[in-house]
Amino acid sequence: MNQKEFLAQVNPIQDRLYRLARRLLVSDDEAQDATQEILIKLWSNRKKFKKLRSIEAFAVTMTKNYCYDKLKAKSSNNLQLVHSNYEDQHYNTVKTSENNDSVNWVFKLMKELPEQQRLVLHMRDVEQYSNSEIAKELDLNETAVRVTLSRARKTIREQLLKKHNYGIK
Amino acid sequence: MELNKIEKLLELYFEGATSLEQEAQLQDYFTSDEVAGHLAEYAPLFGAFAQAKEQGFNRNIELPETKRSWRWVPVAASILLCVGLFLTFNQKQGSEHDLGTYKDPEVAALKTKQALFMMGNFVNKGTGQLEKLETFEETANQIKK
Repeated sequence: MNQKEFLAQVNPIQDRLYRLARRLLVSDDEAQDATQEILIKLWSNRKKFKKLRSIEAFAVTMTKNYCYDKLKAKSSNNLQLVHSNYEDQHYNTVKTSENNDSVNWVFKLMKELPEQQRLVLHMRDVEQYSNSEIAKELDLNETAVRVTLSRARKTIREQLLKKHNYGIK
Repeated sequence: MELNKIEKLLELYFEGATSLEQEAQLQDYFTSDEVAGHLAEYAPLFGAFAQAKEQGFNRNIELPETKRSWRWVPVAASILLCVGLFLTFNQKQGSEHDLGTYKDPEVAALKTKQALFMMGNFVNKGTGQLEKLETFEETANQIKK
């Protein structure tokens, strides 16, 4: 497989990998680094592609594990990075700035979810994976996925409503 | 879309019971400009998902050049060497076989005689040296007695 073929296969999934990394690592720079790293790893593993059921699932697992490793290393270093760069420069701003603020607030809420919930919510609501795909990826059963998803959504709703009603009630 | 349908879907959504299609409907509704006032607080949630979907990896990656692997070169070289040695060795043996045959029986007999004489000479030379050993043994025996 040459570079061109490889890139053609990887192109449709690299954004997904990036977003997953971004959701887990939060920082944009780190997520870009992680994605780059993963793509290079995939490149060196390209001979295995033919044997794989799905390159995407393989890459997602790889990314997930890579990010967990990164997070673990970070917490063991006692290093806490605080990121506030939730803005996305590429987003064409149709929304009002007020709306954008509350969108960033949602991102912040997502970041505060437990890892598993964050991952499930991201895979479902951003990447639109089916519950069975998520279950396979995270080694859970589908009911557990649904429950986790529901919990994550409800937590966010609670926080959102709290903020929305702040100063009113 | 009717409002009560949206409300129903939203309830299901928070139970984790909506299908992907239904979630897409919610997404469409909440990112449109016609969100009903009492549902406005949910708009940022779906707005965030919509926005998250647009984020992408925007770095140009440089894949490491496929390094030509030299790992197999020594192996190939040693195999070649072995094969080469084997062939030359075999060839030598073959030529020795060729040298050993005479077609004429008389010549063959003559040559065999010659060869046996030669061997006899060598053997005699060897026994000549052994005589010295014999005298050595005799003297040794005399001393022992």
